[in-house]
Amino acid sequence: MSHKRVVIVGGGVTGLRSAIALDDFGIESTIIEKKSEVGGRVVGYSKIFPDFRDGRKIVDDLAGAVSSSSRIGIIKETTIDHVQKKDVNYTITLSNGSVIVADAVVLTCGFETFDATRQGEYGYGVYPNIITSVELEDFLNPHGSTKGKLLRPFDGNPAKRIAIIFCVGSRNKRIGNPYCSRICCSYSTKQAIEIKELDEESSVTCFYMDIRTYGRGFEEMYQYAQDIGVKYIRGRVSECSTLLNGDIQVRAENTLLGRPVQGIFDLVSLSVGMMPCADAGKMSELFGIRRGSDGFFIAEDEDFNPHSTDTQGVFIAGSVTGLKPIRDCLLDGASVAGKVASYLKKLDNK
Amino acid sequence: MEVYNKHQREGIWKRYIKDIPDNNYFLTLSCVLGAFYPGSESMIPKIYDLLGLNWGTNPSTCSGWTCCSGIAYHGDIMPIEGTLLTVARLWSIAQELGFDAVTTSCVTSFGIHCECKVLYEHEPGLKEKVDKWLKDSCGREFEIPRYISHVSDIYYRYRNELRDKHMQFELVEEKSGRPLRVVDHVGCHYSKLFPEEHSLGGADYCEVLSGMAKAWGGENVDYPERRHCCGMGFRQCMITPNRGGTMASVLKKMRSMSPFEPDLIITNCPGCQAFLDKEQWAIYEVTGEKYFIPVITYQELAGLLLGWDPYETVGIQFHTVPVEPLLDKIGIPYDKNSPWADCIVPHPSI
Repeated sequence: MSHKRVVIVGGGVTGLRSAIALDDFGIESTIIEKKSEVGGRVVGYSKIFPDFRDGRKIVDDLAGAVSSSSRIGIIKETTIDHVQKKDVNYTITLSNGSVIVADAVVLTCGFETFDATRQGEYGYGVYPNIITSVELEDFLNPHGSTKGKLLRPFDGNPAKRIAIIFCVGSRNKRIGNPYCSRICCSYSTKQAIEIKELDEESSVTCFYMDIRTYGRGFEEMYQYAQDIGVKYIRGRVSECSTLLNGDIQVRAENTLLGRPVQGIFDLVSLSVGMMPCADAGKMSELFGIRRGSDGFFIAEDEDFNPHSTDTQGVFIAGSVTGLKPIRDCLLDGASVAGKVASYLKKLDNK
Repeated sequence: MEVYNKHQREGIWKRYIKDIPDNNYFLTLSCVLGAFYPGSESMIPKIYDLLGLNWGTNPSTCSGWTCCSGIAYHGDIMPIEGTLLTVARLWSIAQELGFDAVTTSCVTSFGIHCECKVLYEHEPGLKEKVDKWLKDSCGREFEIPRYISHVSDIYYRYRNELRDKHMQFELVEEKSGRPLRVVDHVGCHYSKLFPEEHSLGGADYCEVLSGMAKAWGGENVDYPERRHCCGMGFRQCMITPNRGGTMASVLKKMRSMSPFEPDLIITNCPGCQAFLDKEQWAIYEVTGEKYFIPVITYQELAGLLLGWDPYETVGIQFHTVPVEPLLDKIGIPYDKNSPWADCIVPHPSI
């Protein structure tokens, strides 16, 4: 293949994996990453489901493979300002002033988490002992802000009674996010297990709508959670409020018992759903690709051509096409490289 | 750390700012407020005049004036069609006087007017139907008003002007300088029916009363059952066998707020005012639990802080829980030799 360059927008695990896979084909790539380090969100996960591998190690392994290749470049703390298409090439102007000409573009911009303040009834941002799953992830991380200790933000005391509320910002027509975020049940169960393994005397209660732990090993993880004493209550939480000592009162419906329930907790974690990445609108406009009503990018054909878009030479992979577990993102990263390689080869043959 | 984050709460309620007109109001009256707490309703025109506002009303039977029919609609003895017609006539009277902003003194009325407006917005052909009914029944025509506001919206809008130009007292304990702890109880028909469109601050952090309390020197109390209904509910309070539901709701709220030691409760709904006030005595009689936290309407609160006569103008003698202890705290003078003082029944809190 003649000298070709691919620009990968987003340096998360999907972007890193696609760069490595492209390198296997002998194709050069440049990763554009808006933050100061690559790895996206996975870098902050000390354990990922279902096998509890270290997310940081996964990122380090990927980053190591990337840095060992002379065909992969990374430009950090940079975004795309302008794109011009000429014939089959893309002239991309970056926010740092530099210009790259690409033969193909892969969008791997990831996702955003739901702003939990939008569900005011849960009191996030108002009551200190109500946190999100992102913050819980940090608390559980031995290298995080609390060094792996589960403490109540209100007074710094150990948190023994924890509630995890599923589906915050997902499956909610009122909010405008009617879709399921796919991975919240799994990551919430993983977090529940981590809490119990950290302190077996802790009480963990999960308030859920449905348990959607699909995938190989996921159902087993859910069964294990129950075996070690994680409680599951089926029903939506109607509101959270605070007591004078900072304890959180959670009111919900137990649909299996058919009656309302109320509990007092030290810490409440809101398992926030995911939304299209903040740059999705901008990327859609710059590259002329369509988005669905849910805001995620639309592929040329979801079943037969899930990486191609309507725009020639622009490909999508990872969470930008819809939320998925990390292992599926890695699979996507490898898979899109094959599609890109095939496309570039056809360009060569013309 | 505070039990709740005031700064964040400010940010959340501001998502739900509604457009409150600044003048030219048509005032509708409540069917019960003037009977239960006459000072509350009679002070509204005084405030409108004090602020130099252009306003009008026409409760003469010759005009066809009636109550909004909310009590009948919610009590299930009048269908929505009857309510639509009744409200259409009220709007016609308002427009006859040249007003396009309806301000209701009752929260149930406010909910009724909003519900009618929303029905017209969402049901094609409804306006034409009601046009015909109104024409056939009383020869009138109507348009949907541009603004539906509750009088508490107007008080909120002018809260700073009232404080800066007219008020002689503030919500502060005279002896210690401590801001009084204020529980704000907003009527469900104000905050919960159409929280995003018609409630200032939405449902969860409704600001209409707490904004007044803050502006007038008080400190808001956030307690777990803050959003709980007072339990009035028409079908509860009007049907004797159901009245226990009303009392149970008030009891739940009183038990929840009591640890926070509020100095007063302010309301903007006649029903909430009546039941939070009167049920405290009934609760004492039935359970022996003493609360006796003064419950006053926002109109009464404004009148007291303006220095208007507590008996002759504000009408505190109509309260079941004595308001005099609150006046003593603030330092508002009142005639202890007033004939009304004989009506103060000694109770355990004095």
